[in-house]
Amino acid sequence: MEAGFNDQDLELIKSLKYDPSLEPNFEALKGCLIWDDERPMGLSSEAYRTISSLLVARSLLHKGLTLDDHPINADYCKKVWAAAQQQISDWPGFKRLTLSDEDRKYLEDEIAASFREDL
Amino acid sequence: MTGRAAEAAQDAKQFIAESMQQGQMRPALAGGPGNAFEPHVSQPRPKLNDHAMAMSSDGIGEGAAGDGLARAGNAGERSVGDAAAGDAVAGGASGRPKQVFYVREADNRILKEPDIILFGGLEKLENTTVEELAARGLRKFEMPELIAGRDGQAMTIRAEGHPRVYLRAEMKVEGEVTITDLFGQTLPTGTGNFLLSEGLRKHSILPSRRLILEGVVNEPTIQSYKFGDSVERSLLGKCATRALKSLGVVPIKYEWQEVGDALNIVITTGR
Repeated sequence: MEAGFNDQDLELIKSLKYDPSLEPNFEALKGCLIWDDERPMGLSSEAYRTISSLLVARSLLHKGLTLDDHPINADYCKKVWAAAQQQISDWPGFKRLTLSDEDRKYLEDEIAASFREDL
Repeated sequence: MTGRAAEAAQDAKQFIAESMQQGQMRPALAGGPGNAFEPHVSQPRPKLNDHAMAMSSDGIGEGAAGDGLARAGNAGERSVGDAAAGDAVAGGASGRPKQVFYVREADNRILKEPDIILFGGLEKLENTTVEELAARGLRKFEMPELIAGRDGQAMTIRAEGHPRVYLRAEMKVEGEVTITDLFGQTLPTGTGNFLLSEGLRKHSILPSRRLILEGVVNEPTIQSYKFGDSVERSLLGKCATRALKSLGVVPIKYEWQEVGDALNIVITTGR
């Protein structure tokens, strides 16, 4: 399975520089953490969706789960993850498979806050 | 409950009692069943009872679009919720009046219709000083200026002074808008639909055929989906509905859609 990146996408992703000083941001639709160095501007729609899949998959790890716990399609998720590890192994997002205590608390607080009546 | 909050609650109870005695408020407004009020728009400012009557039984404001606006500019200016179907996106958001909300400090949530009533009504709030608002556990919040940008083919929105606020949308087919990202946690709770509607308006795009919320796998939505809840009752479904109504777009059909490992919310729309 290909991860859905064209040549330009691969160039853009490979140009990303991991910055350990960045703080995460919580995205409401996917309910996951994202760092600013993980998604370059100008990706194709397909590549953008693949990166989104990776972010959701990684979020499972952040919650102490595995890719098998994916709520919609674990098999698909695992295939995308494996393909991306081949194609974009240096993606900064792969360097954040675990969370600091501070970031974990942030994620937990945001998830708890998401169980509310309004956005 | 803090001392201030307790005082405010006491004031509110007193207000309700007095209002009901004077026949200014129907009992349903006092928090009865089926009273899932939404935030309201106040331009032109109707009487409070009129706001209540504008609310539909599903809890989504119809007459008022449910944008959470407490006030929008000066009298006579048009507000978001006034957007008529024919000109919902005409001219984008430039020159639009500043949108002001009243926010409850305790939970950083904008006041909705019943809350505003509890605090004595909109006019009373508008005539309340910052200090008096603070004493009642409230503050004014002015929606920041939204800044339109691009990410390749996609449209983005950022908010001035709120670097963590971000909206990203794609429209590959006219009238079919896909929302891929929604970051808004530094804005008060209840402004999400406003960010969505005003963000689209800023780009002058209208989901006149379909609105898709893509990759919706946050925990509350997944729970709704797994439990077989209807889309329109989900958190994001309600948020999207309010945004659509604010844009003068009518939601016709709601669907869950699995694509790959993503769950999408698809709302077929009309005008």
